[in-house]
Amino acid sequence: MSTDDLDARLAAAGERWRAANKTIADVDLSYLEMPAEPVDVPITPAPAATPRRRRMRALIGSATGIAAAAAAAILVVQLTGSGPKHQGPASARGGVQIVCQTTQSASTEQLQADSAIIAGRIDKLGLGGNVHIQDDKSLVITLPKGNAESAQTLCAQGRLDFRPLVMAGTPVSAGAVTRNSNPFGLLKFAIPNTYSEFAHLSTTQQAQLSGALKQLDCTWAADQPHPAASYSLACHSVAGTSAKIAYLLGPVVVPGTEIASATAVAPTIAQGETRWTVVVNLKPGAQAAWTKYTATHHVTGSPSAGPATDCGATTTPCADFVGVLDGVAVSVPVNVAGISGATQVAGNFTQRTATALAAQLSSGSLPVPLRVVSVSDLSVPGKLVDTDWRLVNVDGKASLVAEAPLKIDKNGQLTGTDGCNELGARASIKGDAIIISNVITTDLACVDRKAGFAAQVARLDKLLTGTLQWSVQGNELTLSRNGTNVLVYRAAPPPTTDPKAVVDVGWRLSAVTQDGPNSSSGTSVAADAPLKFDGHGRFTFSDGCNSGGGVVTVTAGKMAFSGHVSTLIACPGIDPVQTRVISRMFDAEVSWSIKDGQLTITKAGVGSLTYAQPSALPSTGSS
Amino acid sequence: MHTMAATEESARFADWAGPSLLAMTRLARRLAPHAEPDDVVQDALVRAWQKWDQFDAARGTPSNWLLAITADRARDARRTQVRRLHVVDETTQAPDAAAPAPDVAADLDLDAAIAQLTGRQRLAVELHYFLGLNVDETAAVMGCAPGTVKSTLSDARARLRQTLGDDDEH
Repeated sequence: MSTDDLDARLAAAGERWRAANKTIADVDLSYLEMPAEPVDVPITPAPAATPRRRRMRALIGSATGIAAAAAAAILVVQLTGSGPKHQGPASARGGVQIVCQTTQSASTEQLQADSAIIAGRIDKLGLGGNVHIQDDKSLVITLPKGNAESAQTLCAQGRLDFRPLVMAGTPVSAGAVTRNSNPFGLLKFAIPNTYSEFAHLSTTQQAQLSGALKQLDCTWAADQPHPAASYSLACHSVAGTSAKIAYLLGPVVVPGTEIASATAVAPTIAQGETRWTVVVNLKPGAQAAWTKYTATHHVTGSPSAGPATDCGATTTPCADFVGVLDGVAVSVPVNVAGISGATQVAGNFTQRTATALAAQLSSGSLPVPLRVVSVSDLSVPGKLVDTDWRLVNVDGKASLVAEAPLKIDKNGQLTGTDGCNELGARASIKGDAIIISNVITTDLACVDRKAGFAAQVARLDKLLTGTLQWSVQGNELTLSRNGTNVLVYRAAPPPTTDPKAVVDVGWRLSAVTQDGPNSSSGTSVAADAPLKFDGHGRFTFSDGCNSGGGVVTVTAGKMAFSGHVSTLIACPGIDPVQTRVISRMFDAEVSWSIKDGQLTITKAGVGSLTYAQPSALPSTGSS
Repeated sequence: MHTMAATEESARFADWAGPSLLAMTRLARRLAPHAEPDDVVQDALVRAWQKWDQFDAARGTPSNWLLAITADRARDARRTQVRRLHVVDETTQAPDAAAPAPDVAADLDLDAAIAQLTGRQRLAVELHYFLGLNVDETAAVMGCAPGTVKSTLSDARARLRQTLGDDDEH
């Protein structure tokens, strides 16, 4: 084919295509606003202009308009009156703000219960702060200055179970052996639930158990569910060293929910005590069962009923029961006699840790587990410009358009969404006032997800124009109008690089970028290209046609791939850039981070792959 | 006053951008065939409105300026909207007037080959051949010299010949 042939062929194809494509996009510019003159600060907000919609639409030829539905949903809801006064966390200036989120979905009642328990803990610790529910998964705790280290205590579940000891491992120093996440999964016999079951095992089996305990990954063990009716694994830190001892424990004897009250008790120096303890009072029913249990399980009483044979070795503590707090063995006491009254829980406690534990226990354990998402010092002024803000509160109520973003760059360009449509505007900042003008939005159809959603979108559109007062405290931006706080935004959490976050997620490729001379971004990703990490050092992937896998070590922000194997089928129809980047990505070291639920893997000279986290993906039965 | 000025301003913008809408729609359809052209053009108009005061009539026509923005937004749409499911609307592909049928298959081959070009090569081909812009206009949209457009088009044709030639051998 000669040059002229192809030139002519392209020109002819272009002409045919133009003849077939004479329809103009159905577009609509609404919400165009410009201030008529420079605005002085402060001003009373102008009444919201009735959106005048000017439709730019023309049809050429006889074709009908396409996809007119895209502009069909116009959200117009009248809101009357001004919003309620918002008593936000910004009123507590110069303190510490802690945000804790649920790790599983929770009802409003459960969140309220968590909130009440945390309020009790704040009270018992004498911190003088407050807690409130921010949205359907977050609690915000505001404390006076200097209390940042209380975050973990306040948001920990705080459940102290008593379990009988079945077998103790030997102390293992950090890094001395390779920790396996679940060495017990490899054992070919039933794990004993009691000491007598353990005693009936063969010597070889007992040695295998001991070896498995030595290899147990303590962090993994703490994060596992600990069903009350079955055996459990927990580790205890040996005081003053980096060593840890792993324990195999029996089913729960007294669950943490049966604790009525707890008090931190100072050591009696005169009697040679050096450590603080926590004295626990049980509810009457549980106390009776506990008295009965401890009557036969103590060192001097009935050695055959418990692993008292472990006592005496210098490196192995002996115990009849272990106190397990949120999956970690905190108390491994030597029980010398039956316990008929209060139980003294001994551990490596200092005054601070004993007081914290007592406050947790006497307030009750949280019905829904929480994790600390952020701890911010509110005395440090935050940055309004160039921060990635996320909406949390509208008119003092939790945002229904959860996490709608807002960003103002240093040129005064405002970008964001109202939860439905994209917003663009100019923002000028004058002192503590921000003037938002030239607001325009895209005009897409929006699904009304919750009752009041449309109203909130409309309210947001109305609020994000004209003059607002702003203040940033810590990681919160509060926008107010006429002295009433109307919108609260929180800085988006920084990208995650916690290795646990990549495991067991059915990642699906959403975007590809290629480095180099033919650099391109946003290559169309037509095929279904999954990626999965099993948490035990293996990964699997596909480029939508060829699939493969190998060995991977995931650390904070880095992944090291090796042993990559892949099928090699010729695949017409798969985007070549996508194939090329994928084929070069899973080898040697790459960088990664998770932001807004998207995993991005980057390799210099190759490009990057972005994977989304499908919200409801059918199980594919991996293996 | 406030509302009046805003409305006049937006009306002026609508009148100013209106004549370029067909070209913008066509470019969106060519560059991001899997995205909704309405969304891409709307998005481009939003950007244009935001940056309207940066438009310099001395440096190009409104149409060229709007097409450059459309190309940018189409690239973004290709990245973000790829996972959306699309109903293939045969009627939008079908010609308004009767077109010679034998060319359809050849044009599809050509489209597939064009999709494999680099970003700049593809943009040059789409603007010059499919939007029917001359070399100078294409250069204005792409923000480069006419000579660069000519060499980019020549590179693109070489690559297309190779791709189409490869296919012919099957």
